[in-house]
Amino acid sequence: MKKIIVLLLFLALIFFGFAPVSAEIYEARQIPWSGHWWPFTEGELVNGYENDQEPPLAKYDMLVSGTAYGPAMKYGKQNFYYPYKDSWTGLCFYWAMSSILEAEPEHRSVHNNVIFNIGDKKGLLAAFYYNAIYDAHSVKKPENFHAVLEDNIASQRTSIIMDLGSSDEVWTYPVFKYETTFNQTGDVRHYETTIYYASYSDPDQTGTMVRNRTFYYYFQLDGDVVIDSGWENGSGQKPPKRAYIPLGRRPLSNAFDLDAGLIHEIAGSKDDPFHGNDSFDTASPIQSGGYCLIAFNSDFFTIYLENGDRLNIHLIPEISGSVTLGIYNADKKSVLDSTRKDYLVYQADEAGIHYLKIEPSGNENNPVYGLYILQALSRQSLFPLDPAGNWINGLALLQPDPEPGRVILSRIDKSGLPFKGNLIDIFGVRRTGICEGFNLSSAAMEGYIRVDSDWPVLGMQAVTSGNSSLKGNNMLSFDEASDELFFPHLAVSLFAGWQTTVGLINVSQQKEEILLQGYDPDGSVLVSESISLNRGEKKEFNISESFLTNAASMSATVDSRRTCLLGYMEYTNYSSSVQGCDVIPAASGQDRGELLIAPVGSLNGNWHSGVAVMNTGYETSEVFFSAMDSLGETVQTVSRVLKPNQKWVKVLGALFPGAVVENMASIRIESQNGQPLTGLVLYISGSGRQLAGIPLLPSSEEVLYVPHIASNNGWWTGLGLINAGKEEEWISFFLYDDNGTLLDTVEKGLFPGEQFNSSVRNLFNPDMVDSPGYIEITGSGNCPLSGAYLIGTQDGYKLMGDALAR
Amino acid sequence: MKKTIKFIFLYLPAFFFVLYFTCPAAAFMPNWKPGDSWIVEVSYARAFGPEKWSEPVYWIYRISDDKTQAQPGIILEARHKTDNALGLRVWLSGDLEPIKVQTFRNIRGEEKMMEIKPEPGFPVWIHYTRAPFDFPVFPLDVPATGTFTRIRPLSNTSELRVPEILKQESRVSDGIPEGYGFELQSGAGDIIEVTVLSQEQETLFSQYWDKNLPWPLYGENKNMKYRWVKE
Repeated sequence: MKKIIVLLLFLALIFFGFAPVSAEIYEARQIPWSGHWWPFTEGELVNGYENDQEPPLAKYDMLVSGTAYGPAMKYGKQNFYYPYKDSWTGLCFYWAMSSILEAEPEHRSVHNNVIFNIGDKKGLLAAFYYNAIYDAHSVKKPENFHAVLEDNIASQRTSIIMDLGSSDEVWTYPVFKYETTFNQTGDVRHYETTIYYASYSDPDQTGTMVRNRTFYYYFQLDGDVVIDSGWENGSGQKPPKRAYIPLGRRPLSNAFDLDAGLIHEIAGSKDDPFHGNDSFDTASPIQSGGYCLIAFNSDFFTIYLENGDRLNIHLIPEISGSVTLGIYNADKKSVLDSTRKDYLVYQADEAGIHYLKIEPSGNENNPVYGLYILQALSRQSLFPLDPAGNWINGLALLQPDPEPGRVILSRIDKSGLPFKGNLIDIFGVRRTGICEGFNLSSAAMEGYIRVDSDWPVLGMQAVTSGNSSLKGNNMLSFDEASDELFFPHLAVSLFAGWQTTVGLINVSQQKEEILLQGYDPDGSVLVSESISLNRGEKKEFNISESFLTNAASMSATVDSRRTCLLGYMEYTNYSSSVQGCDVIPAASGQDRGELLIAPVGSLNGNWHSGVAVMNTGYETSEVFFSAMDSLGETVQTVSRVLKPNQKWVKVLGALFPGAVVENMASIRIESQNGQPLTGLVLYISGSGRQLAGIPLLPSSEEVLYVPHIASNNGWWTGLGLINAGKEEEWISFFLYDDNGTLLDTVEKGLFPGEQFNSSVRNLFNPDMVDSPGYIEITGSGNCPLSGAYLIGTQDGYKLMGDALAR
Repeated sequence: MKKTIKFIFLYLPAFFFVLYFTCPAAAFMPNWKPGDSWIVEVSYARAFGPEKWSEPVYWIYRISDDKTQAQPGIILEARHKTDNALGLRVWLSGDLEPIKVQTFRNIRGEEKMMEIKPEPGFPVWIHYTRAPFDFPVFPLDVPATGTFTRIRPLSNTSELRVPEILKQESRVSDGIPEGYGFELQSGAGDIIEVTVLSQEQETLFSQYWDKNLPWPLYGENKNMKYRWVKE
């Protein structure tokens, strides 16, 4: 019996003495999320965490400052990337901060064509809290550990951060839950407390990967007063070190901070800027341009098309086959079946709203895709320059015969994809502005500006930088595109400072193979190479850095013989003797002729002119160069035999050694046997600070234009015109303002070969030329004319020019 | 040991006992009255990273009348100078005894308030706040050393309690020590240095008071350092 009593007492002791008298679970209201700890040695915030992906801070910079290396990247390089730091160091603490203080980014999203993945968003949040404010507590003593859990998770229902690292290493985690029980024996309570925390994860992962750790400790009590404590059951070997209570953040520095509103917008958003366009009824209007999008469900867009309008559509999903495209008419009937093609052309056969429907397909959730749309109208032209850097891109558009037609400007990147398009209103007859003014965004894409219109449009481009750089030329019409382009002069001289860049643009709907041939001074093929140009693609070659570096001239020939190539030559010289740059269109088939005539500037001794001529025919030709005076009388004639593809380049003084340069007003170049010639004239001011170039073109009976005049305190515009016919011709010069209002008219008789040279201010009533406008030049229509215009600054630093537009 | 604890914390007639050795010099107490306001510059400790302290932010402290108390009292509020966010609110009696302290922070877009009821006659050292409120027991005599003992709850929710002994030392400072990171603005009057230490002799906070200013010329605790600045 005694044994039984002892046994019962023993069991009672087990059940009532050592059994837990309390078991409590507490959890924060909001659960922190798992995230990456962004090790310093990797610097993934500034180097990227996935191959071929822009780093998170570069994406932020793209959004804020339009460049992939802006203030955020600069700050990140200084603070988040230490290749030689201890391998365990990183941003775990700041991830933990953000995971408590911010809702979890759960979706990818697109902002201004920049894709933010979940990892990007979590990375930005970690950076955002790099200057977090917190309350730090030592929890090395069990009662402090116990109290911080109770004060925050139990009482406040908020998470805390704990450093659970060992030795000197810091491994912080957001702790959101704990479970505690104790056994009390006499005056000693033995606690078993398990904390639950979110662990590290891959950057793009969502959710909370929960881990836990159990700590054992005791409290020595005197009544309800803790008079001693200690870790037990091994917990003392690796106790928690510190706890941090998140309080908020302060700016990263006085000089730089991430924008709180933008960070929250990025982190909290899902989808793209067209969020909600998931049905025909909620379709979003869209126009020419490039769009980076996410198909959370089907995306619907609308675009208005006139009969005959063409839509060139590139659909580039991040994962091949993950989206399909369908096109529907105004009645929502399919006019183009759903397709996964990455490029298609749709031509409207009726006017009205059209719908584009992009549907996710396959297994990919929320696929990201690029949608590049180009609305092509019946007429197409382009401005070939869109340089990046500090260049300001000014455009002038002229519709001499105003019709109620549409004009669409599209900024095309160098790969040929439309970046931003805009249907613009010319308002009157002419409109000028910089790209930003035409709502083409501020980011130059190093491609070109495409112009689609219902009616013919002329234009001029003036691209300027700083106080001394100006380059430009007339807009290039797709009608001028050729299967063969000639570049009669490649100026490359290390000592004289000349540099030449050649640009080629494929305006066809196909990828084209182009044969580039560089010729030596005798016209023999020196080098040749085939290149590919995708549809719409532009390629530039700095001649001195290319295989063409030793070539004197070159040609580009389209293998398919499609007339799809436009191009230009850009000459640059910033040496001590010449300072300037300008662009000259490359010669297409129709730009060549057996007779070329051009003014050679105001040759009063203040200007130098150089001439380059190339025989683009198949036969050797004796070419006659005649210097003419202003009345059309020959000053001197020299001849030169040019083999096929051979060029000859000279400054006027050397070309006509026996003539007085000041007496020369124009130059006449003729092939003795009818071979097609092409060439150019370069003008350099006496000071060497102004440089411009014009192409040598065959004369024309068409109406000619100066598409833009600048004539005021800062600028001057001059023009030169030659009667290339054999009869006297009466020429009318009409000065118009931007609305097409005729401001002044001047008539002038020109004898055969006579050249007329004038500044716009001297030609017209000076009171009428201060406002921007344009000039129309007409003859009888029976007499060919040649001419050019120059625009320069009064301070003698900037100059550009081109042949009179037609 | 056990008996000693019992003696100190359970058998003493008062809940807390203050040993305060003072000199007869005039005691200092800030002269706060409704309408007063001042700016406090705060730099926060950084546990990680190359910089020990953050660049400063500014809080505007403002005194208003507290008409909710039976006795005359005041309310001290601290708001962030840039976004006007409320960081701290303290109710004090007419003789500057903190009665209630609320601290505010924002978690996932929601304001989270924590309320603390300080022990009367005990130095106050507030956690969970971005705006500092370290408050010694006033008036400050110099030189003086006081020991404050109490048994306080282990936490806001615990039924257990822990003993706590704090020491407050105040003296006339020879000058403001250099190397605190702030460029201190000296006042016209004598400077009183007050330090509150834990039982383990760890400094919980220290402050330098100018008798003519409403806020310490300089103060520092484990989480932040702060100073009064001219508006």
